[in-house]
Amino acid sequence: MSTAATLQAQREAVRRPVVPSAVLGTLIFVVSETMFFVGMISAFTISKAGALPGTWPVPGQPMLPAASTALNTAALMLSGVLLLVGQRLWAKQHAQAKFVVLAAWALGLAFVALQGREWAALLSQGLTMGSSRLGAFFYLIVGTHALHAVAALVFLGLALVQLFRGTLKGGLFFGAQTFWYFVVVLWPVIYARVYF
Amino acid sequence: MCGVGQADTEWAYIAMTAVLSLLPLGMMGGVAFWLYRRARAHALELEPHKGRSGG
Repeated sequence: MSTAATLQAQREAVRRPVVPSAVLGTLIFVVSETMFFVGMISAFTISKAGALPGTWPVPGQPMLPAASTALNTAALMLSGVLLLVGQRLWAKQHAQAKFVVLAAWALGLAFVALQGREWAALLSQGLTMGSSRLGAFFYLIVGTHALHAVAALVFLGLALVQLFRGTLKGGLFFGAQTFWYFVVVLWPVIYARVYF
Repeated sequence: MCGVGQADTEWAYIAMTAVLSLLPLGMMGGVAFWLYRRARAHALELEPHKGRSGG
C-alpha cells in the first residue's frame, strides 16, 4: 500500500468511533433497565416466598398460563435468532437480509399480540392488578416488558423501513438490535420466575 | 402461623441480595472490558506495527 493510501486509511480509522454512539447509549440504557427489572423480580421473589401456603395464587383466581406462553416465548426467541442472522446478511450486503429482518420483526409483533390475547383472557377470569399480589406483580413486570417490546419494535420498524429503502445506517440498526436483544434475553428470565 | 415459609423467605432475601449486589458489578465490568477491547482493536488499526512488534 502506498504512503498516501496508508495515511488515508488511518484518517478514516481516526474518524470512525471506537463504539457507535447509538450502541453505547443503548447499552447504558439497557444496563440501567436490567437493574430496574431485576428489582421488580427481586420484590416478586421475596413476596412469593413469604406467601402463606395455598395463597399463591389466591384460591378462585386463575393460574398463569405457562404452557400456552411457551409458544409466545418460542416466537420471541426465534425473532432474536432471525435478527442475528439478518444482521450478518446485512453486513455482507446480502439481498435477503431485509426479508429476514422483516420476519424477525413480524415474530416480535406476534409475541406482543399473543401476550395481549393472554392478558384479555386473564382479565376476563378475574386476575386484575387489584385482585391479588400475584396479579399486581404479573401486570407490572410483564406489562413493563411488553412496553419495552413495543418501543424496541418501533425502532426496529424504523430501521426496517430504511433497510427496504436502501438508506439504512449502522447506528440506528445496531441500537435497535441491542434493544431488541435485551427484550429477547430478558423474557426467559421473567417467564421462568413469574409463570412457574 | 408465624414462621410459615421462613426458610423460603430467608433464602429469597439472601439470593436476591446476592443478585442485586453482583449483577451491576458484573455488567459494568463486562461493558468496561468490552470497551477496552474495542479501543485496543481501534488503536492497533491505527498503528498496526505496535501490535506486531509487541511494544
